[in-house]
Amino acid sequence: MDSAQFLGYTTFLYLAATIIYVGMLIFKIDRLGLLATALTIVGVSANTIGIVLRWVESYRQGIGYIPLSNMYESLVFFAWTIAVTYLVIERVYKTRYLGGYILSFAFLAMAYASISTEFSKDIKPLLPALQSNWLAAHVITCFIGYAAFTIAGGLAILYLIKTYSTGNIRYKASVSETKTPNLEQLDDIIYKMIIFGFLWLTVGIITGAVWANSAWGTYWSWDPKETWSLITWFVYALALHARYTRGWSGTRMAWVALVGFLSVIFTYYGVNFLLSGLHSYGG
Amino acid sequence: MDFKEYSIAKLFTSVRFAILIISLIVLTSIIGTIIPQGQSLGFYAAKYGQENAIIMEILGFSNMYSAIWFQALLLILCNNLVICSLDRIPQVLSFIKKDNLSADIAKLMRNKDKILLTSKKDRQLTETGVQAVLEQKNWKVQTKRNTDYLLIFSEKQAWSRLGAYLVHISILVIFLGALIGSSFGFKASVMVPEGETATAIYSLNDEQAPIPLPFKLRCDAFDIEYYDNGMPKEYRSDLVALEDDRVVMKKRITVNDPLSYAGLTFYQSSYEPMQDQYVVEASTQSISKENNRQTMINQKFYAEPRKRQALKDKQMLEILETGADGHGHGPYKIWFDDEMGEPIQFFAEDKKSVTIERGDLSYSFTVKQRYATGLQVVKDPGVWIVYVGFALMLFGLYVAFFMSHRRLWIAIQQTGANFTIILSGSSNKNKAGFSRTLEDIATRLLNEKTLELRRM
Repeated sequence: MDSAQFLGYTTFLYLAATIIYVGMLIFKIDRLGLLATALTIVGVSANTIGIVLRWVESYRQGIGYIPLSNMYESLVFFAWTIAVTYLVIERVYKTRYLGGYILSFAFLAMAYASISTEFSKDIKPLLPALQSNWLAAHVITCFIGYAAFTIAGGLAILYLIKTYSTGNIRYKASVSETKTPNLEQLDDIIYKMIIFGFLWLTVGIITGAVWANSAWGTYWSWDPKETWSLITWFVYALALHARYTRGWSGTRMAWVALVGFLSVIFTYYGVNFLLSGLHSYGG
Repeated sequence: MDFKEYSIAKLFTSVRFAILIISLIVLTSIIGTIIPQGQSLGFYAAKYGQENAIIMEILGFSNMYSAIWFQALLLILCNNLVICSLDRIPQVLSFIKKDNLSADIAKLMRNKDKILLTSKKDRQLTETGVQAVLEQKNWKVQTKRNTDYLLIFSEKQAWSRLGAYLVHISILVIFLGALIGSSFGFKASVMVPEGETATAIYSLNDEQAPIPLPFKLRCDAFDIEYYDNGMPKEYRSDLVALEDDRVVMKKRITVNDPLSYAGLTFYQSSYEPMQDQYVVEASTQSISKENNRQTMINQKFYAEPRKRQALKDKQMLEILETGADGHGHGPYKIWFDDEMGEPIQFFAEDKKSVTIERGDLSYSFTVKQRYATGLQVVKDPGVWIVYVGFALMLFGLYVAFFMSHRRLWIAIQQTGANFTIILSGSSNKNKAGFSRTLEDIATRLLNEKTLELRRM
């Protein structure tokens, strides 16, 4: 079996897990949650095997690089990071009620990777500029950051829907909601995801700068991708300062997380297709 | 702080002002990513119209990130970081140095996290037992005896409250490194043809002004390797640094692997095929009767088409044609004579060795395009400061996010015949983790059988 097959299964498994997580919520059958978690774990395994196989295949073709070098490969890794982070959240917060919601992002990333015609899915050899040990360090750290921000952004949307649909912005705990994460918990997860993402994005920007310096002798060239990653970094830096110095939380924090998420999407996706620059090979 | 009396300094201490500056940097940066940077006036005129192009040029939008007003924004941000930090660090320091033994029992009871234990054992044993348990877990204790109770205090990682300021300082360190780099360093470039030696490089910032090299740099060879599908796989140059014609450094550089010597770093950045210039490698071997080959001469020289070249041992060579395709990349038609028979003509493919045997001699020839390698030359004495800033930033973020100032008070109070032991404390972060820590200490105390403690 080849990597494409495993990654195909991954897409399907994430979809199935998403549907079952949602089914668990709608039909209030807790046991379905166990199945959904199992499917997610199988999905992550298939995703992992897919990435490893693609790596092996690239060696068989005599190219040999870690599969993190183009849009397709980054989306696959992005989905993997979201799913793994979700499993950690599920374990730490002991709740499956966010499963359908967060995993749908992993599914969307995989689905987009497999159906899009904007980029090639082939294993292509690496350009000289990309042949560096920094490639893996840079891409992995950036995408852990992106995945954390995506989860924060997704949960921020959930937070805002919950807040505005019930009409009361200040949350009041009610007995019926004890099982689903309450707004306070959501706020806590959003905040923790922002911290986690901020740390990894920082490492990602730094590894990128060190790499650029070893390849070109310039650690910062204000290329659109660099600039947008810095913009994203500033947005989250503002979010953290608002929380520490002004005590922002709840709805306002959710809006900031959403703005940050849009900035992440543009940094990741928009820059590659709308602007030109040093990262043009990313497409 | 005194400087707060000045209104401008006061402005710089306000978080709102910092947010305004960061927002301005963000917004202008976005503009900078939308407007292509560093293009000619004609480019902008064609894209945005003549008048707009001139306005953009005046406002510096064509080279926005090096425009004075953009750099001023960055400088204001630095200023803000310095003044905000100077404004707040004293408060944090005084909190770190605070006399926590002045707390009374009422304050202990106000903490959210508290556990009450009771004991019937004698005072001395209880007090030393409690301290021993704390010290086992690396809580260094301070004690104070009050009229009716003993107060034990211990704290961990008080300095972690400075984590956020470490990050702020790291940003300043990075800016300092960048400033040193741009003041005392330069970026330059040079094209070195294969086989030639460069003695000067050309500034990229200062209209190609030549900068003399403190040593000589020779390019022995340049080569491009391709993948099967025609994509470039590797650009490489064999560089040699020479001082007084003595080789001091030799390195084959590739795109991600530059050569550094005497504070200068040479990066592989481009290349150029040299018009009508070819590299010829010729070797002569003698073939003995036992068919053992022995290399006699290896020669490498640069040839132009249709120019006869004299080699060693009375050999003559001429490239008659450089290829049927008109691109000059072979097959090359070569004329060769060694004065030991009729001159011969043969074809050689680009980069492929051709062997000709004449009598008891065997000649091998390889012909390829001659290139000039394009090197980016950088002197950046600030880069290590920038890297120190990076390391400090990561350390600061780790401290700010994952380390917490935990404070623990234990009061041992005599109430009638019994002792009440109040465990209480707080943490500025990870409060759930601290509750567990406190519970763990209580469990350890309860497990000390000699203390005979019970929960209240």
